Amino acid sequence: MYARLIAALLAVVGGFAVAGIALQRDEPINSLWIVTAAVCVYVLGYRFYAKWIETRVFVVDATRATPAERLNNGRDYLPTHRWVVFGHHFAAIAGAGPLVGPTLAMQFGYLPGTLWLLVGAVLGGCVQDMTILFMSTRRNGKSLGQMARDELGPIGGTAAVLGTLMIVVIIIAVLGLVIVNAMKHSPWATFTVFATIPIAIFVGYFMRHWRPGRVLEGSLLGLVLLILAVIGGGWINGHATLAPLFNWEGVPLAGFVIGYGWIAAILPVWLLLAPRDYISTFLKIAVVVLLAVAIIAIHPDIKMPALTQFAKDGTGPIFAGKIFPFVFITIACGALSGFHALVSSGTTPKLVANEKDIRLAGYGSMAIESFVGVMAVIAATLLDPGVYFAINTGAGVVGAAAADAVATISGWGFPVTVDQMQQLAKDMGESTLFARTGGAPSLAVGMASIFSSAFGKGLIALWYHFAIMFEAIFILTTVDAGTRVGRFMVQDALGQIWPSLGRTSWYPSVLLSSTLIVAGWGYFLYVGVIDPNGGINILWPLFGIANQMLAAIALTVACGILVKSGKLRYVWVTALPLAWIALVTTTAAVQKIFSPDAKLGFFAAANGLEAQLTAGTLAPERAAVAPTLIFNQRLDGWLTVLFLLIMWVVIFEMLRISFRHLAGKPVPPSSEAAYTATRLDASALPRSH
Amino acid sequence: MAGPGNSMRQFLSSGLSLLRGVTGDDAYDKYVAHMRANQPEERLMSAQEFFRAQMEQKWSCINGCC
Repeated sequence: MYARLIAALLAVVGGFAVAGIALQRDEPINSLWIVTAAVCVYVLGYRFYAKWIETRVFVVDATRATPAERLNNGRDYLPTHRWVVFGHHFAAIAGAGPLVGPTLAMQFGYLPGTLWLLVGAVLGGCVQDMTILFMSTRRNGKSLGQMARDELGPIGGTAAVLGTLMIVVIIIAVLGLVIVNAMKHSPWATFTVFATIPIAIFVGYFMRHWRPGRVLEGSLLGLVLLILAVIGGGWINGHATLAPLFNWEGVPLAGFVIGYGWIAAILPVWLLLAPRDYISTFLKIAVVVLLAVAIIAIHPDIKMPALTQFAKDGTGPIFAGKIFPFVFITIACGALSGFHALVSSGTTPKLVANEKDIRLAGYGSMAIESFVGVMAVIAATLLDPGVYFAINTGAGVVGAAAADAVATISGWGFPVTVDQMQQLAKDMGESTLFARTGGAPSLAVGMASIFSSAFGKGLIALWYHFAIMFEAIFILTTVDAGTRVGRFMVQDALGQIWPSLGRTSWYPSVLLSSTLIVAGWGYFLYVGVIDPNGGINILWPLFGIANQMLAAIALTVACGILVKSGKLRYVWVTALPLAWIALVTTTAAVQKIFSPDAKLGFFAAANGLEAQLTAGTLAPERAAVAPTLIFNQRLDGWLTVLFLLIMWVVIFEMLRISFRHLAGKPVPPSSEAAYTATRLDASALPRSH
Repeated sequence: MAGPGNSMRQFLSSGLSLLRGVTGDDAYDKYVAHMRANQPEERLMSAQEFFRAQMEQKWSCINGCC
């Protein structure tokens, strides 16, 4: 009874908050409205929709033994307390994506991005993560690729694996670009990011030789050292002879990230990759909690309008295209992410002690991930809109000179002055904040103002670089872990042609496959860095399309399994988000391929630039990079074609299999593991030993 | 004794054990408990061996974030 009263109250409060956000137009609204609306929406979604899916659609069975119990080996298959599974799953899905995507999407105003973060998560992303987790748990923890192959046949399976490989390459490139843009000409940020490498190696040595397995001690040690590195970076920045040593252009920094990724992929994991991942998990949880506390404590006003003109006319300076479909493509991970399906069918299903725990880990973790996206929205929109656009717009759009940039941006109706930007850069300990594309610097400015208001002014430059370091830790973890994952996939593929190349520990194969993967993302990163428009405007939409394509594949696999297990009348639970995201991805891809607008269409941009190059109207420094940019735009166009094909191949395979099943014809059999009764009391599991 | 100090301590200790579980700090303890209960005759890996094996295994499959 009480539970119902509370739920009704939440519905009323949430309804008011959503209405408040949606209807308030003329004066700035307070971020507390957004936080309230978000929390109410998540709680209602979790309490009712997820509960309904759990009981009616999945029909979870608390008496059924999970793979963690049946295959318990004390190591990767291990029945685990539900809150630990939740924390583990959240740490595994959370990365830089939900921070960067929502920041960029604020060019449309705060409203569209915020609404999609809430609606997309509750009806799409959370459902996807929970469904894949449930299905993988029923199949002994099989991966998404294996499930696609088993349930939809070899064509669907191959397409799913190919899609995964492509998205790995694109995400490393785009996140590498984000971090290069944050380090460009910033000795403080560059020193801090460089310092994370010896720190990770030191912690790796500590955890391997001095205190084996003491993860918490190692992570805490790493955290303390990282904070010292941030402080040390401030000292370096003020030092006349040391500062220039860390003051670099974009291209050498990209070379550094590429070299780092290659070395990290071939080094033993304990030395660099694993300790960085441990520190990153720890930092992630700490900063998310800290940021939530700070936002609720200072609840800043939102200065960005609800909707900007770019939502309607599609001429946004950060990325081109109208609100439909590009707000959905840009937000990506905070609302619905194909990447999460890889985690939901990876380590997490091997930890779930009871099917009743799936809702918390799958649905609950994604709701928190979406909330991280909401916090990024607040951090981006508490800035003056003029400042937000000045930081996030490339020099190629608004002009390289500060006076040109402020004139253009003020002309859009978002006043900003050169003095204001210089003062802000000085406060943050940076030489300039103009054209620092990629989302990381503007997010760091927002986070720094939140943290410094909540925990003491005067330290704002430290907080700014702490935020940059925090993003860098995430991103470099993705760079090295992603390169390694990509390496395994390439080795697997090469092994089909020449078996000895498929041996994951054979050194020539390790070198060859690592080089191939690094060359793949390194190329996109390099082109992004030399692009005068900042590169993000091209790469982020490409990443968004790839990520939403992977989400569509995951939802397709889920639909196929639901139909085959006789749940046709509930298939809309995954079919509706699938239909929506397939529509969004297809529209975005078609616009990116066919649009005659050079800002939007890849081929149009290539042709336009080629015409300018032939006519000789380009400035010499732009003409020098033009052939590379032209080739890259065409390559991106063809990649988009490929993404679209992969997505529709998998969808058609699913439809074909589903209709065959409904017509009573033979289809690949269900790969669900047989029922075994549980002998485990999941509620009695300790949180730790 | 049930006092405010006691419940605070309880809160902190459950928070700590949650953190240990999430970060994997207690993985070796869990492994030892599992082996003692299920395969007491088999040789136990040392903490160092276990930690190395865990790491190799964790990083030889797909696990990514975005």
